[in-house]
Amino acid sequence: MRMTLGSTAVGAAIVVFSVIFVVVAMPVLVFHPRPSDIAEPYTAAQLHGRYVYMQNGCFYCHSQFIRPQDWNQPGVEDSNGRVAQAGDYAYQQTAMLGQHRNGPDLSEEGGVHPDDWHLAHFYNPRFVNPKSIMPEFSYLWTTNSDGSVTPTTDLLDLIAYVQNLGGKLGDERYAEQLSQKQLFANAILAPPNPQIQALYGVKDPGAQLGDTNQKALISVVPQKFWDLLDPVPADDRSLIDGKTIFVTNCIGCHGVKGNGQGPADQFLNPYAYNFTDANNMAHGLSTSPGSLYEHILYGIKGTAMQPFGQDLTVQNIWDVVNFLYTIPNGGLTDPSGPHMTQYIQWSPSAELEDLLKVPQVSPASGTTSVATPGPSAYRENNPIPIVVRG
Amino acid sequence: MASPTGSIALPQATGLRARGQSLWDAWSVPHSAARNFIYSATFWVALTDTMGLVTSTEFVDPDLFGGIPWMEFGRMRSMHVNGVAFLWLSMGYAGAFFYIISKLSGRPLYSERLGNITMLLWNIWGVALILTLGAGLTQGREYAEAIWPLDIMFLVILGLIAFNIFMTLASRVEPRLYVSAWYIIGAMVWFPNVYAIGNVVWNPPYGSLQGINDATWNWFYGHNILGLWFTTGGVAIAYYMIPAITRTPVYSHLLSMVGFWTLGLFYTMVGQHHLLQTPTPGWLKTVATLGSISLFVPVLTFITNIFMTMRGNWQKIYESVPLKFVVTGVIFYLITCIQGPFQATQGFNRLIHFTQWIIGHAHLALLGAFTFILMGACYYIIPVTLGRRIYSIKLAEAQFWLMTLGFLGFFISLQIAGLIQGACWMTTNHSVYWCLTAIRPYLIARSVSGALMVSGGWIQIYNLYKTATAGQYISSVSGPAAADAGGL
Repeated sequence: MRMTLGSTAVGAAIVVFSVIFVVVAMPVLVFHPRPSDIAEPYTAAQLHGRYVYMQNGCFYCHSQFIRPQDWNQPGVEDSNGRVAQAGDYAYQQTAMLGQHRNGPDLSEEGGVHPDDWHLAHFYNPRFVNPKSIMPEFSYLWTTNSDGSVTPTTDLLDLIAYVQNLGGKLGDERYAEQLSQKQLFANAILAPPNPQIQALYGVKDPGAQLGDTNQKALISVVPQKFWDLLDPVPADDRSLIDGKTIFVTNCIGCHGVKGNGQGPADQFLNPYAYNFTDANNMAHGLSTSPGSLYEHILYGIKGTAMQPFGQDLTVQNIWDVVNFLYTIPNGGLTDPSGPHMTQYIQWSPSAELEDLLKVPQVSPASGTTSVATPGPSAYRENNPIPIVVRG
Repeated sequence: MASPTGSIALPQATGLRARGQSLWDAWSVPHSAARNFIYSATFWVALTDTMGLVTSTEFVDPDLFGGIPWMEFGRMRSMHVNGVAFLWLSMGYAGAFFYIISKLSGRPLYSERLGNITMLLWNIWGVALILTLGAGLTQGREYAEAIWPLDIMFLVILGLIAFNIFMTLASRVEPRLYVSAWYIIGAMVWFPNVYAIGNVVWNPPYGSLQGINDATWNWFYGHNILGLWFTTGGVAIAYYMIPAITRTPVYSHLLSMVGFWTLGLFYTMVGQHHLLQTPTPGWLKTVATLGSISLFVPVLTFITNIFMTMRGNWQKIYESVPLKFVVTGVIFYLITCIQGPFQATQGFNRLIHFTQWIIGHAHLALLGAFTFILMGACYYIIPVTLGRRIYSIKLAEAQFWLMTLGFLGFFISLQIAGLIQGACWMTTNHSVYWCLTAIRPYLIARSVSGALMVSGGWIQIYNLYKTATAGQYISSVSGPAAADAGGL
């Protein structure tokens, strides 16, 4: 074949445009997926938030499609099993599917975390997850004269967009976050709270305890966790491992003293939990080993407490729980490490004993009985739930 | 056939600009456009590689540059990727094309002044691109981030380059076109079209489609600036440099022909292999996978042709730094193109998609293969067109070894990290954070070896500047003394 300027140029164009017709034109001509069950148009704020997401290159690290093999995609706890569909993207101009996963997939991120978590996380991701390598977006805040910071419209719109990821599913999860947050707000603002009393049919159990968060906290813990005792014995190994895990995961919110005043504190509502009250750690309503285990495993909806079930093993979590009981005696601040002498043995207070006398419906007889109070009896009927959600 | 081994006229140019010479006159000096493109590209490689180094440190210490908007990972990453692709490689290619086309035509470039004006426009475009990306003005599609006005300006620039090249070829005195010229013609026909289609330039300001077909278009484009521009251009340069430096005719005309036509045919198909697990049409993925595997044909014909040309010439890599760069680049190209088809198969893609492996592979192509080939071309064209020796062979050697060892460290650590990530996601229930902890040592190794490579870019700035201003004049066009001057 004689290669001339004309034959080469025209031939090159013919070859490539033939293939372009197949791989570029054909998809547009024949592939028009309808909007899927979760797809919905964006609001103006979400649309602008999406542009902020684009501007800051979020899609370079966060994909927006769950692959068939990601059915249990870590970090996206509520989307298990929903593999991305073509119609999910129907309303998107510029599909930011992403090609890298340096951070978790975000296609179902909406409502997985509450707004206050996002505020702290965008200001500096290390505040809520010290292992994160995400850049800080503190430049999306304005600094006031007194040193406090106010989020810009860009950031609030970005959060509005992120809370809508997953479309209608994201909206549902977000609504649940909001209602849970309202529950906590009510519990904090107006004790005693009839709504929580109604939930479990008890008289204001937290009234005698200093921290009014506790009433709300106990209301979100499944009852079988309440007086669950620790299957991992508290010994030096467990306490030291627990401290290591606490320091590498928890201090952003709970603080280096364990008093709930970490750097994320300024953004959170409700505040991070304070572990330094010895009396509370010994007899608290929401500080039983089982409750703490549940909070770490599943997180607490409506608060910034996130689930750690996919980062930590069951034993890791129990080690942390053991360690938490040393914090009032200096287990965290003492550089020589937690010692068994600092460990507080939790036991139910009289209020909790009362609380456990909740009328229960026996599935066999259908009759109402009163559960036997006390951890040991309760535990026999409720084996330790060594399960990780997923 | 225009022989790339033809005689070389010793030019009178001093390198940058002679005292008292106006810029307008300096811009009409033969090969001045090629040189100025190469100088510009060398500046951009040092700058934008440094940006890449900065982004890599953010994997290790994310707060190091925290709170500075334009240094935030997402923005600086796009500055690095676009800078390396469109400012270093593309500008360097334009310079090398101008030189090669002029040599293969046996004629000076159609218009040196137009070439230099294009060079100026391209640099203005580059500054605007970096500034807009730093300010967060982007279209949000990988490799296609440039905003709409810049897309249009870039198409104009490419049109001017193509015009200059085609007019030079049209006036050629050499009747037969050498293989490098086919590839350059192909690149200049394909790239502007791929750019316009991939950037959806008729849909301002988004430059994108609605719905998931946009991803298909994005990655048709994303892979074909590689296939129909970087590969095409790199192959053209290698096909010129290796016969020219070794003074050996290229091994087989037929193999070149097979390689050229199959490159255009198969490379155009493969974009969808970036989207193998997305909810896009299955037949597109099949076409992409088959096209990717078929790429063995153009790759192996090219490699065979080059290595057969090198037969009996291997000792010359010790005499010529440019040849060393180009041949190393060709070897990295072979590794890239063995990896690529495997990565495009469903099974392997499931393991490595989303991981750092991909970053390693992308750098193997753009850095290992085409940057090495282009750096060889820079070290050849600048001395040859100026009639000066490379200012410091030792520095050029140091640059070669810093880049080679740095790149190998960079590449191997990313491949290991990618396999760890892929296995972590597939076999455990852990979060992405947990897997990041596992690959941290490799990310540190990546940054350290990345720093070695970046230093190579800065060495090239110094060495080329000194070559242009203080390089020893070559008195003879033959003999061993001339060999180290870039294989004259």
